Amino acid sequence: MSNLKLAVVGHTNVGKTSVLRTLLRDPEFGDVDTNPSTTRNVIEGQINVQQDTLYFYDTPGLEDGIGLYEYLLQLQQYAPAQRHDGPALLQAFLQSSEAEAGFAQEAKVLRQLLQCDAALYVVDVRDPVLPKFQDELAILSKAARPILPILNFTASPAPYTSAWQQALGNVNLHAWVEFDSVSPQQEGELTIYQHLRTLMPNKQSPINTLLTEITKRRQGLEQSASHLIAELLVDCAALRIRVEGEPTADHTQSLQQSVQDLQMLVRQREQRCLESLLRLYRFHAGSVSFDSLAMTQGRWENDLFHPQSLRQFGIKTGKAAATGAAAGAGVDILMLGTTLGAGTAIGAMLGGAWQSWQSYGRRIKDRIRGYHDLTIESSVLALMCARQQQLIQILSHRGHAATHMQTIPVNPSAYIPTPTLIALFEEARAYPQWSALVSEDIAQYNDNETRQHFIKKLSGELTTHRIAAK
Amino acid sequence: MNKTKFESFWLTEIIRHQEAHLGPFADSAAMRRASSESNLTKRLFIRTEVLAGEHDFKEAQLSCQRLLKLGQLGLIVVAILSGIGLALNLSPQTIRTISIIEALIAIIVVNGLLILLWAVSVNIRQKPGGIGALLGHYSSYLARGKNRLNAMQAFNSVAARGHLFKPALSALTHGFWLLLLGSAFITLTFRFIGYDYQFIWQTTLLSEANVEQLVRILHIVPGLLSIEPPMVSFAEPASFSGERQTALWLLTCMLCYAILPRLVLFITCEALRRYRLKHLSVDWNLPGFSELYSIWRTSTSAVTDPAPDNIEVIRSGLTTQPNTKTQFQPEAWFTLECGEQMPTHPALQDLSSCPYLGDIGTREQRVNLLQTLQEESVSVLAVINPELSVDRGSLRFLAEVERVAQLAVSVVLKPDHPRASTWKQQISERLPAVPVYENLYE
Repeated sequence: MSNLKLAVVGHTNVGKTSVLRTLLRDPEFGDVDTNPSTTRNVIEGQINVQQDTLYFYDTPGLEDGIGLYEYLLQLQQYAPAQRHDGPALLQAFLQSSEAEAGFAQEAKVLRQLLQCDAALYVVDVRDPVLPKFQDELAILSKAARPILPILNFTASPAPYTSAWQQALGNVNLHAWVEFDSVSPQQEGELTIYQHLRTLMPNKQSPINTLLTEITKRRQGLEQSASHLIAELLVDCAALRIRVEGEPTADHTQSLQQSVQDLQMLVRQREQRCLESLLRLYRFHAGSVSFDSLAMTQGRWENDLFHPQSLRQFGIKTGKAAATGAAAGAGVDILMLGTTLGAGTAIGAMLGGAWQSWQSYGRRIKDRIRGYHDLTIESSVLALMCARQQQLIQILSHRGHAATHMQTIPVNPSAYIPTPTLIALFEEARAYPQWSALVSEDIAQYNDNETRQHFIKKLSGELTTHRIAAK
Repeated sequence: MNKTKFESFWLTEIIRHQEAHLGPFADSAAMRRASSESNLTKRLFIRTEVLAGEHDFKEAQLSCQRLLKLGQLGLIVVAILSGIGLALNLSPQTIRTISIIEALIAIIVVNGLLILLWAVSVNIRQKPGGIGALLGHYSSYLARGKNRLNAMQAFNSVAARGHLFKPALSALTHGFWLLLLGSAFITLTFRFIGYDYQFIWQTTLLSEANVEQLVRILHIVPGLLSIEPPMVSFAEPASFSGERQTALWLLTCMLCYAILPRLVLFITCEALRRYRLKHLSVDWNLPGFSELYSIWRTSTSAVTDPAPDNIEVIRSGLTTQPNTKTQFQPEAWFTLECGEQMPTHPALQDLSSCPYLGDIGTREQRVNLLQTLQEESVSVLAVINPELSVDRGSLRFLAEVERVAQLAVSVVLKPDHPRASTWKQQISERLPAVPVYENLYE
């Protein structure tokens, strides 16, 4: 087992804890505040990678680099032998009374640094390069540990990034990483470890393992996120609410009630998916929110002998007959009073893909008994899918130091579902027992091998083909 | 009671199902207990144990286990009774004659055809699902109550995910037939020991030559075991030794062509089931598990070096001077870490009549300024850059300036900057005698 210890150091209020929150993907780590001197303790965080552990130590901010540097020069005068022995000089400082008094905070930083393999020196690029920062670097360099500068807040306007890069180069720190802790660059995290690998050749093995783990974990996160969305889509696509009576104007009120029930189930399920995704990416529940899902389209699976249904069983119909006009009319009636008037446009999407005669039998039975199934329109499923994928994009690029809330806009017309996705939605429709949302008959829910296989297929499709905005 | 690996996975799946569909449990206590274990899978099982205990899922699992064991027991009883029934049917006490061909068909041919059917059904379906999954699903209807139903569904999910249905149901099928044939074999043996039977070779369709040919083929394996072949004769009945020889041959054929193949298949399927069971692992990409993996990948933070009780607080040397804006008229001014372009900032035009002592950044500049102020003893205005974070070093320097000169601070460059208020607050706390201005010193 090989461990790697990294001290995160820097001036006060430059975002050291924020950087660590993002690297650890832990919004609970330490305390973050706009006021200086928020971190007063040295706090440890760990990343476990197989048999190796990467330890991070969040340290208090350096607040008086100029004063401490002058004091170190004084100490050096009393012990000229330490002129070229930085660690010994720092040890002398740590044993001095000043380490317990005026420079207690700085002493903590240096004590921790001397116990670590390397330091991440966090820089707020919104600050200009000042002599006190250069003194801090001079002090830290006496610890004889590799230092990797992290340029934080690079996404903010008017940063002094290039001035800092030049200043760091002037003190022979040529390897630096731009890493905005609020909206980190996709490859920023990897770059940090790649640079550390170069700076610490003796720690190549654990860092390589860590790099592999990060890449694997990133892919794993994407797959898990797609799996969560696939579960949501199957739950919703397979959902059927049985309604008694014909979808006519006489039944408008009861239909509206059923549509509302359907919408509520779907909204709640989508919210649960959002919460699961937030937990997966380790963000607080309120970090991102959806506008209320504009699901105004319920749909009737009412026409047993609709051309689309017949086609499922290889019965060929004319092109004109397969346009789903009857279903469009059904949807219009359904949407009476609540519709946006888009019912006719979705008629062609009708026809849950009944692939088993068992389903077909049930449908015949329901038809004879005068029941109809209310299901979710494919365009709504596509919209949900797009929104969840948009959420993944946001979460992938959001740092765990971010405290502002983001809202995912609702724009149903902005997404085009791929034909493959539509086909998969239709396939899921054929299996009402796949939906875990059927509360009145929970025994019907069946997470069998076929469902698991389908979820894998759909999740693979979601991972490889993201729905693109127009 | 120690749980088997499958039971642990099953219980974990029950919890996962609940959390994936109904939201997470309040698991802080469970997570605390789980965190003592370093292995993530074991950690997951500990969390599951705690949550299952809290929500009565263990009871539901036990109930389902009892149901499954009852089903298994029922099958065993049916298999034994069927075997005895088959044997009794083949060897009636009243007639005392046994048709050899009928016995061979009932024991070997039917069994062989069923094995063939099993082999075809196992290999023909490459897609997931099948009879096993169907049986699993419908078995969940037997469970009553929400928790038990959930437990049965979780059982099916784990079995499906671990590809256990096929080997488990195959082992069950072969085990059933093994028991059936075994009990038939024992019953027949006892019958042959207890009663004197006469074997008949005649059939309606087959000739003596056909039957002889059949016997020759079937004798290949018993022949290897040094069993004598029976004497096939349609015309005359066999002697006592001939009947004994035929009975032994029939039992050997039953052993070789019915029981042994079933035994081999049972052992193979059971071994495959055990192998898959052994390799059952947590899929950390599954909803419910993936969130936990994200949390467990990093450990909770711990303070390794706490802050000392007393960090030195900079305090003003002067406490009597009133902090009023009207009394202050600067005779000189300087900027603190504002950058060289700052003296020409439009907001500082009113200070053009006062001597500018420079932008103070380095220690040398600080020392020089303090020396100048000490010599001349003037009232001085410090213009600070509120974009910078206030730090102890800057406050310490301002405190030093305050000791040698009458000092006021201005945040005129960015009075509305969020950090301007922090500066004002820190200065008023640490240097209460120093006035802070937003618009120079008016």
